[in-house]
Amino acid sequence: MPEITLYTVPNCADCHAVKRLLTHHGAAFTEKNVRGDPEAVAEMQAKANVRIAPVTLIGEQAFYGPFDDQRPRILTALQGSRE
Amino acid sequence: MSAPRSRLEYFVDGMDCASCVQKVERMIATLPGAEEVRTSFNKQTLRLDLDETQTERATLERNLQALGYTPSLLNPPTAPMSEAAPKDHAHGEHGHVHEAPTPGQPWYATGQGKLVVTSGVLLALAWLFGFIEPQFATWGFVAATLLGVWPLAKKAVASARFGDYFSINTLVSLAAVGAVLIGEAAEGAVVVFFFAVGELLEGIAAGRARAGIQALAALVPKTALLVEGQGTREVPADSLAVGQTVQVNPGGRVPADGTILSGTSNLDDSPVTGESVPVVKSAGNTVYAGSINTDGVLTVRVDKAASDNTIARIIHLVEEAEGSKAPTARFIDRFSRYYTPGVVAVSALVALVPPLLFGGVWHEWLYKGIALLLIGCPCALVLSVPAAITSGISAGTRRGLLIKGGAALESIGSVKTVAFDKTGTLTAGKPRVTDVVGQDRNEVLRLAAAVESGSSHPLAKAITDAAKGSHLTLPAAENAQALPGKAVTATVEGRTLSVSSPRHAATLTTLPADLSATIEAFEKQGRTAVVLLDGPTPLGVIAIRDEPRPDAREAVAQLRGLGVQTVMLTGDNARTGQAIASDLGMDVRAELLPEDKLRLIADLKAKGGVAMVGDGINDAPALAQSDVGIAMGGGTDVALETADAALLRERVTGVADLVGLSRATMQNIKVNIAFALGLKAIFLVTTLLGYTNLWMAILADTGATAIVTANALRLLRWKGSGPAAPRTVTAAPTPSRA
Repeated sequence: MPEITLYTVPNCADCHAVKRLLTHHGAAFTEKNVRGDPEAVAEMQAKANVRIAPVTLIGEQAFYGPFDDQRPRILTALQGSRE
Repeated sequence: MSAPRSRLEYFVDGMDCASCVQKVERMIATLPGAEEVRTSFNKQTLRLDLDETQTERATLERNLQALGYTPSLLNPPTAPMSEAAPKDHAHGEHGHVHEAPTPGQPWYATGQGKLVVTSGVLLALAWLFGFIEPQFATWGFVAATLLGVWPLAKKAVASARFGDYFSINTLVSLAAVGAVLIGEAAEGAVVVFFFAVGELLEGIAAGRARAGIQALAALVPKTALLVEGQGTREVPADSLAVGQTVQVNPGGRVPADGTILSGTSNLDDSPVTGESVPVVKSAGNTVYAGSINTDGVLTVRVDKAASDNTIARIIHLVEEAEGSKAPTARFIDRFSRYYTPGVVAVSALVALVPPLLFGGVWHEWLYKGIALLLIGCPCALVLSVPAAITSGISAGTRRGLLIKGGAALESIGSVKTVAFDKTGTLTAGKPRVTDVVGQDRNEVLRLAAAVESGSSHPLAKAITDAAKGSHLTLPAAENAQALPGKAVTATVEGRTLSVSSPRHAATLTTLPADLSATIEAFEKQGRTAVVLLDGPTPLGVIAIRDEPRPDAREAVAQLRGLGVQTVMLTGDNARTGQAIASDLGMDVRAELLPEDKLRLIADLKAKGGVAMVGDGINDAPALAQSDVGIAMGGGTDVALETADAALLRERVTGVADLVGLSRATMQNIKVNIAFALGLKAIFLVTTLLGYTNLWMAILADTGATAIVTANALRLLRWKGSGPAAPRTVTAAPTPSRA
């Protein structure tokens, strides 16, 4: 299983949705709240070149955008890592 | 002549989540003169071409600040260029492959079925040989026992490796092997045979529940009419790609989740929502794969590939849900963890102590010890709970109640309070103008609608819809500006008009007493009032009301009947909230900010369980905070993902149904547990005292397993309060079985 990091901000529906998706598929992940944390923002930007949460980092792959956009890609990545 | 435009690019501090981006985009959409709007996820920036004669830059910046974001201009304004970096929206990859639902095999073709048949045949042969050649009979029983024990022993070893040394499989394996060792192979063979039968029954029960759900998949047509140029071509529905256009003829089924491009028709969405009443849909509406198009011809843009459509996802979620354990199931596991070693220990004592210490006969006491092992086996208990949970989840899904897991199913029935979000949940989220007060009704409506014509806010839409309904011709509005939550102003026919909230209007001018009274009266009736001002002069008041859903009142009453408190959470003003809540007969907490909602949910949680019902998109944090989050939303992604349960047909009474279903399931489980344990206790005592023999105890346990499984299957017939959708299609591959 590759390492999974999820960058979130509080009260963000899309972030919650990604969290639930990962939990649901039994994928362990580290969550980082980037609001008011310039270091975490910088890290997120370095890894995904994005400043807007949620950003899902699965191994080398980074996904961003609204939940609907991320969902199929996250699932593909999770599935790929299981094979 | 084209207006002077400037290209602006802002870094927007605080716009740091995907939903924030959408909020900003929606706000910009209400500004006249804003075009080519691009938000960048990479840079957290907003870029747009703004016609500053229509909307001033200051207005844009003020609006952003009102939403809680701080814009800082990155570039000196330049004339717009034609290129624009497109947002990455490529949707090509769709890796989420669902296993094709295996059509129901006959029970004897499954692994478990083969085991039952083989050990049954061996058992019967051995028994027959008992009359002809007794020594062969013993070998037959030994063979039947070993065959039946083999898979159990493998499972026992596997669970022992994970630290669970005393699983039910260990118990049965020990008992059967012990029986063979003391020369009672016949009993050992019968025990493993009946245990296998019990497991087979449980498998059949789960399979039956699942077959009902998978029948949904059969409702999606196999082929689709792909629109190509002027004509159409029939292609397999599986091969449809996102972005393609398909045609759906009257009477046909929609082949994929998508958006209607042209045409209007009644659609029967019952496969997805369980709702059998057709819904009228036209261009721009979304349709689900499997829905029946009852009349008009539709062209539909495919939004999701076959493997990812709503039905496929529901089936997948339900299958996963069935695998997740309810707290009661976990309780049974915990119980077994103490119970099973206890049984083993007592059996060992019974078998060893009398012969060792008191000179008992070895064979007699070993037999008694093994008898204890066999009687102690909690088969019925262990098998009944998953069967009931599976049946309960399936029964719900067929009625448009999607429950994601045993834990959710169990906790819904025990919540003390159900908290409802107001807009979009208790109300339909489609406000309508109810009253217009002023010297000339139509004039007030005409001018207010002109001011609001550029806005997509629900209240603005209510006003423009009302003007359209009265066949009014709207004059052009210029210099439209929005102050979110306060007012919209514009120049119409040379007058500076504004449509404002009463509180904002009061800061601009003094409202006459009679007008203030009217406004207060409207708000007490649960309506939202807005004031039309011409400069400082009030021209009239428009009352708008977001009507409660037709079944909201009934739902609240039903919940009260079930002994569940209800409370409405709203950000609306206290008077309006109070009026709607008292109309529905429930408590209300009004003027709440999102974080207030979270705090309230936490408070309610401390006072016993709380379920939160929301429309799923903006309520995700509150849904997550509650014990059970219930999303109101016909199959939207965020709703399906964030909530523990979703009401696929948008009916508030579904909440009461969920509570009812949960209680019915738990009741079923309790009856099963009591029955299984009670029977066990009776036979334990009577067998040890010698009134009944081991055979009867074994038969009793098997009988109990069959009865609790049958009892669990009764849940499949659970009706709820609403009518179930008639399932017209019988393509369901149901396993053939006794």
